[in-house]
This record gives sequence, C-alpha cells and structure tokens, in this order.
Amino acid sequence: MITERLLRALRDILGGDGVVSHATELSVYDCDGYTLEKSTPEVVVLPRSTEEVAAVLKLLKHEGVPFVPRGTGTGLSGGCLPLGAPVMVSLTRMNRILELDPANRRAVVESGVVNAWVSRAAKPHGLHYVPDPSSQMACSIGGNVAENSGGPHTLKYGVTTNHVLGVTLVLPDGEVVRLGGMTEDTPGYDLLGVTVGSEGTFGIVTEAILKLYPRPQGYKTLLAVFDSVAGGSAAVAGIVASGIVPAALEMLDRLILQAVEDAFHFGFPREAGAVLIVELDGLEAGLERAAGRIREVCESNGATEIRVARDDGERDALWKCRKRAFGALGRLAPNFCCQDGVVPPTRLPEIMERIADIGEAYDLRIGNVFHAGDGNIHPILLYDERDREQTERVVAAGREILRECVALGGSLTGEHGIGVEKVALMPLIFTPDDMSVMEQVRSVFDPEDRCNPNKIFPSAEQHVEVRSPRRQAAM
Amino acid sequence: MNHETVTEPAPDWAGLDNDLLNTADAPRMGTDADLARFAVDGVRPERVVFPGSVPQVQRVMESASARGVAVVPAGFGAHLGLGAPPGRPFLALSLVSLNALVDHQPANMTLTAEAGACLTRLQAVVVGAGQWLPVEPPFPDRTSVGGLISADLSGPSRFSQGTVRDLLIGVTVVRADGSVAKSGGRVVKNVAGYDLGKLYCGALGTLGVIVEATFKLRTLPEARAVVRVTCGDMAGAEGLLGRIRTAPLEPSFIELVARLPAAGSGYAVVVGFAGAEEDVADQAATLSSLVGGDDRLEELSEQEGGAVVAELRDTPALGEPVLGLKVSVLPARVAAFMTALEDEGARNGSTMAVQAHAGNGIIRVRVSPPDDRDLRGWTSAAVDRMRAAATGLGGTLVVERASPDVKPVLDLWGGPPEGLELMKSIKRTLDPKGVLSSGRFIGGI
Repeated sequence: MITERLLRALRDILGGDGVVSHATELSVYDCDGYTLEKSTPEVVVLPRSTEEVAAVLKLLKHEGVPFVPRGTGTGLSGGCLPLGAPVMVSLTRMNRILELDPANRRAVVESGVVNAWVSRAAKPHGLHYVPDPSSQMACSIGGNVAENSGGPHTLKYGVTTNHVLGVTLVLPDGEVVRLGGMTEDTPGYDLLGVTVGSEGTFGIVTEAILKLYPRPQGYKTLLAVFDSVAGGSAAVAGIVASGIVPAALEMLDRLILQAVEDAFHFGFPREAGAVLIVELDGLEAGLERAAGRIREVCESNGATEIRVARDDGERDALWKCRKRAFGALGRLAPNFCCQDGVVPPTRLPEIMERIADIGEAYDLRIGNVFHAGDGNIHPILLYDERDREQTERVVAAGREILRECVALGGSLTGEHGIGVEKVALMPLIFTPDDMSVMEQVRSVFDPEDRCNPNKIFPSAEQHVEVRSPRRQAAM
Repeated sequence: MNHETVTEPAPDWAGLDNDLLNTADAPRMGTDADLARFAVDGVRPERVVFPGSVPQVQRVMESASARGVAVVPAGFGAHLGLGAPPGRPFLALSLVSLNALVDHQPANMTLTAEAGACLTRLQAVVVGAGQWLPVEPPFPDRTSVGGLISADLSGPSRFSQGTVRDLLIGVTVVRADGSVAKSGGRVVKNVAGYDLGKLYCGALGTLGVIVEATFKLRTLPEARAVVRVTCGDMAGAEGLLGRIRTAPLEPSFIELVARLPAAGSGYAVVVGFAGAEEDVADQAATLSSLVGGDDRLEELSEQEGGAVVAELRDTPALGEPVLGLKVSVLPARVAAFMTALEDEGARNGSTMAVQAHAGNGIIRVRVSPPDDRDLRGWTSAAVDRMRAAATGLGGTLVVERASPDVKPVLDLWGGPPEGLELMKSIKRTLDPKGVLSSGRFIGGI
C-alpha cells in the first residue's frame, strides 16, 4: 500500500530522519504493552509539530491511506497496533512543555511529553499533575488522553478526563481544531470530553492543556498485611464505606509481593497473602486521626501487621515498588498479560475468588496488583509465548475474568481501553444500538474510517480478522 | 393563494395525538396550566406530555419523528430560560413522571436515578448514608436529574468537586428516532466505549432525551465553615484572592460577590471549608491571618453559612426579569474582568450583581438596566461591550437569561466556537430530522 512516491512525499514534509521504513527499525513498533498480538507498520513517521502532523494527514487523506497514532507504546490493550493502517504516526518528537502557568494552575504540553515530566516541571511551583499511571516514567500525555488513563492516585482526584481542559486535535483530513481551552465552560458541545478516551480514533491529539493541583501538604502512607486476598478485599470495602477517601488504595497479592520483594528488597513480608497500600493526603491537621481510622478498619478485617512510612524516602520507595511491579514479573515468566476489569468495590472478594478458580481451571498462574479503592482489578496472567497452547489459555482465561466482572455489575476496562484486545467483548456491556451511536459519533470525526481503524467496535472484526494470538514471536 | 416556499412538512398534531392517546399504555397529557408552566421564553408548547416509562418516552419520540413534531425535553421546567427559544411550535416532553431512584449503592458510592427525579429528593435519600451528590444547581427542589445534566448546572463547590461532567459515570438516552442508547456504566472507573455522557452535558437536550443517569457520590464532610471577608475595593479583594491561592488551604469554594456600582458594601470574598474538624478549624484560622487591615472578617454560624451558600446557589431568582450573563476567564483574570465591569457600569448607568466562582474563573453577572428606554438596543450594546472585555481577556461570555422581548436581538453565545462544524455534524448525525430542541443551542443547533 505504501509506494515509493508516498515515502518521498512524507520525506518532503518531515525530512529524511522523520520517516522510518527499514524493516529492522520497524519491528520496534510491532506492539505496545499488550504483547499477545503483533503487527508491524509499513512506515513510521515522526512529526515535530502540529503543522507537520496536519501536512502528513492531508497527504494521507489525499492518498486514502489509513494510519494509527502512537505515543510511547506503553498501552495495554493494543490501542496503537496497526491493523489495516500501514502508516504509524509517532508523537515522540513532540515532547516540549510549551507553557506553565502557576497562577492559573495550567500546563500546555505537546502530546509526546512524558507524564512524569509535567509534575517535575511543576514541582518548583508547589504544583503537580495528578493522574499517575504506573508507566508514568515512560507513557506520554497523548497516550493518556487517548486512553483516559488512570493510576493509583486517581481514586481521590479523578482520571485523565477530569484533568484535561483542552486539546489540539488534527482531524483525519488534516484540519486542526482546538477543543476546550484555557478557561472552563467553553460554549458548545463538550467535544473535548468525548475525545478524551476515544482511543486515538478521532484524529491525532498534538497538544493538551492540563490542570495542575497544589501538592498535598502532607501524606500518611500505610502498609497493611493480610493473611489472604479475601481479608484485604474486605478491608478495602470497609475503607470505602468508612467515608474516608484515600488518595490511593492499592492491593498486591502474594505472587506479586514475592516477585517485587525479590526484585527490589523493600522488606515486604514474603509469606503474607496480600498487602494493602493506603495513602492519605491533604492538610496535615486531619491526617493522623484519619490514619487511625484506617488502621482500625484494617485491624477489624484481620490485618496482621500495619506499618506506616516514616518519611518521604520510605514513601517513595514503597511507590517505586508498586509502580515497577510489572518490571519484577520477568522473574516469574517470560511473558505476562495484564487484564483490566472493574467491579463495584463491594464485589472484590467475589471476583478475587473467581479469578483464583479460573486460574486453577485453566492451569495458569495469575497474580493481582491493582487499584482496589475503585474496584479496578489487574489480574496478571503469566505465560510463555513460545507455548502456543498455553498462550491460547491465557486469552480464554482473560476473557472469562472480564465476563465475571460484567456479571458482578462491572466493566471491561477501567483504564487500559478496549483497543484490539476486548473488541469481541463489547457486546457483553453494550447493545447494537448503544454501539451504533458511538460509531456514528466516530464517523463525524473520521468519516472514512482511516484513523486507527479496527479498534473498539466489534463491527471492526468483519474487516480484519482479529485472532488471538495474531502472530507469535520466533519460537 | 399564497406561494411561499415550505421548507419542512407541517407538523401533524392530530396524528401525534392519535399515536399517543389511542393506545393501551398512553402517557399522561398536560393541562392548560402545564402549557403555561413549560413555556420557553413566553412561547407555550402545543402539547405537554408526561411519559411515565422508557417505552412511553420511546413512543413519544417515534411519533414526533414520524409526524414532524419538534420536541423540547424538560424536567420541572425551571431552567428552560437557558438557550434560544425553539424556532417552531413544539411539544414539551417532561420527564417528571419518570422519577424512580433506581439504585443507590452506599458502599460503592454510586447513585442511579431516572431523569425526572428531583435533586432535593435524591439528596435527602443519600444523606441518610452520609453522602451527597456534590452539585449545587440553583433551585434543587425544581431541578431534575436530566435538567441538571442538560443545563450543566453548577454552584460554588465546583471548585473542589468539579461539575456534572466529572460526576456522571453512565447515562441512558432515548434518541430522536425512539431507540434507546446508553454509555458508561455503574462503576466509578470505566473507559469502555466512548464517554458520550460528556456530550449530553450542557447540550440542552439537543442530542437525546436523557432517561436515566448514574453518578459518583461523595461523603458528606464531618465539618464545614463559611468565612466572609468584606473588602473595601476590588484591589483589596484581588490581593486576598491571590493570598488564598498560594496559602496551604483546600477550600471547598471561593466566591467573590459584589454589587456595582460598589457602594459601602464593596466586595465580599466568601470562602468555604469542608472536611475533618481539625482541617476546617485550621484553615479558618489560616484564612484569618491572610486578611488585610481594612478587611472585615466574619466567621459565619452554621445556619448563616448555609443560608449564604443557598443564596449564592439560587441567584438569580427564577423568573426575575434580568439579563443574566456567564463569563469565563482564567482565574487570575477575574479581577481584570471585574474592573472592566466597574467601567461598564459607570458608563451605562446600570446596577449589577456579580458573583464569581473565583477559583474557576466563572463570573455570573445580573444586570438591571437604568430604565426601559430602547431596552433592546441598550442590552445588545451592553452585552457586546462586556463580551469584548471577556474575549479581550481570553475568555467567553454566554447570555444565560434575558427577557423574551430582548432575547431575539442578542447573540447568546458569542462568535462561532472552534469545532462548530463538528458540533453541527454531531447534531445532524444523531438527530437527522432536527426533532430535539432544535434551534435552542449554539450556532443554531
């Protein structure tokens, strides 16, 4: 589909170093953090400005070529997998923080800016950008906007959509529109709101206006140890019901704990069934008493030990372990698939039990490290992609877990998106009429279905057969 | 014989009546009193219908679509003054009979209710579990769930709690053609499918008839305090707002209240705190240390504080024949806009009541003209000048309220916003026949 003529035209816009077309270089782009399926683009382009993105999309419109946007490739649902989209537009070179406005608590950034850079830049002003996905040292703001990303600290403060005031969106025909703005309540439909979380199917977001918040005056970070996941889950339900809203409320089960401990030597109790990380933040005055109440709830739910981070160093170390938990999993298996379901928090004990049963039925090892406070579970299914039969069991078990989430009143995804991974499951929660409205809205932005095609909606499956696993790594 | 061009077929009201009434499950039709109650800017609907179930709403929409009848969805009718009047005869579809509280899950902090449920009633239920839906629409006793969303109503606490868009996690609508479509769900964290709830927020019912919605709830604070600081002039208030912004405070709201021309009373900064008792007491003390020498600080009793918040929430009073404007600027530019307002007031001789959600940069202005000589021309020119001041500061101005005789000459929304073509295209795609609230929204949508 990509002709020499098109490559030349792309090089004319972007320069020689802005176009990647060599097979070995392209293989880097064959998947994101969801590694069960792989597909290599025919060409990757690396624009440096909104104008360059617009010029590229105008050219692709003229040529009728589909494309897929990509940030830093840390997504976990195959959202930037090129399926029937030969051109990949990588935003990694659009990585400037354009404006920091402490008085109004705003930051204007290009979409290739890494999440953690925003808080780093805002820190001298006593501010930070709240959404903090575990991949925040690597993931881009553009990717966060596409997926409406969460993170541990979104329990109290909300997810990406609650922190984005505006975006610059290049439509699939190359037109540039600015949605939302620096001020609140911009007149008209909230196109910004529906663009956030549209998984890169409306166009390419090149800039975002972010809200910043004052850094909390104080933190109280507790680690509660339980004999079992059931005990931890009951404590989570108790904390949510207590009325105290922790900044973060995270659970790690034994499998994950042990891997993390072996990797980072934090001092987690290796024999524990589960630990909860409970972080309170806010004004200093009320923190001590709130921490006392959290302690009581944990103890009444069978916590065997409760530790409190003594200083910022200990707190940072604890969060590093939590956020790098995925990195520690290499110790357990060559590959893992991180699922992303949601249940009402009161149903956590049930879903944990069912996940254990599913692991047994499919003969798979499944660990759990997740945002317990909002019921957003992350079962991690371990496998070896060289074992094709085991890999197929992982796909089947993952789907069964999500079915259980839906049966308990939950959802298919809390923060990773539908991507390619969950396309086939959408009918579990949405009727054809529900999806038809969504597809109609999509058609307004992308009438030719050229922007990140074959994602989110099961009708996409009719165009490209999504098999799992699509393509295996070399045996 | 008259030969004027007919652009759309005449609505078939008799056909509609037949569709709705000659059926076993007929929706309740409104009386003459209802026709008056659901008038939009003085224009009465041809019919008012009160469906009591989702299938009844579907039937109304199917029939209206087929019969060429325009529909204005409504709740209690209290907020119909927002937006332009519909350009043609219409049917008012009130959801107040579809008002069940569907599902309150206290332990999961969620609430699902039908669109006609009254906000005051819902708050009374969830307060029993120590919770609230953290929105403060004006006149909550006459605000429905659907109206809250469609009119995107907010109050002082939006500073700490966000607006409806931040709280709505699932929504079901009946589309113009009568089909039912939902998005989101009943869990607080969910990114499956597009977040269409955002589109319905503030859309004045132009995209679908909301029939059910699910919200996140918040825990009621253990303690509250309201502190009022009266400053002699805007400079004093601006200094105080700046100090509040950088102090270690987490206010639940920061309001700036003024009457222009500023006689004796001057400017008042009203700050709310909510949370743990220690935090609230600490913050009130911190605030008192920020107050300038000429400022007067009053810590209000719980009762006074509640009354002040209700007053802030409920202005302007419903039915008051004033010009109501909503201006949005960057928070740090609120003072600059206030200065522009002072100049405008001095120039045009009006009196103005101003209330700003200062932390959000949202300023509401109620303008009472000096007299009623050429009210249309006067109002139109005043709005243009104030809008110029707002846009000059990078902001926007929307006319939220105006008397029906003046409204037709006003530009309610300001120039076309970015993305207007996308907005129009969304409207055309979701409501191809233009049945729903047509002409009421921005750009003639």
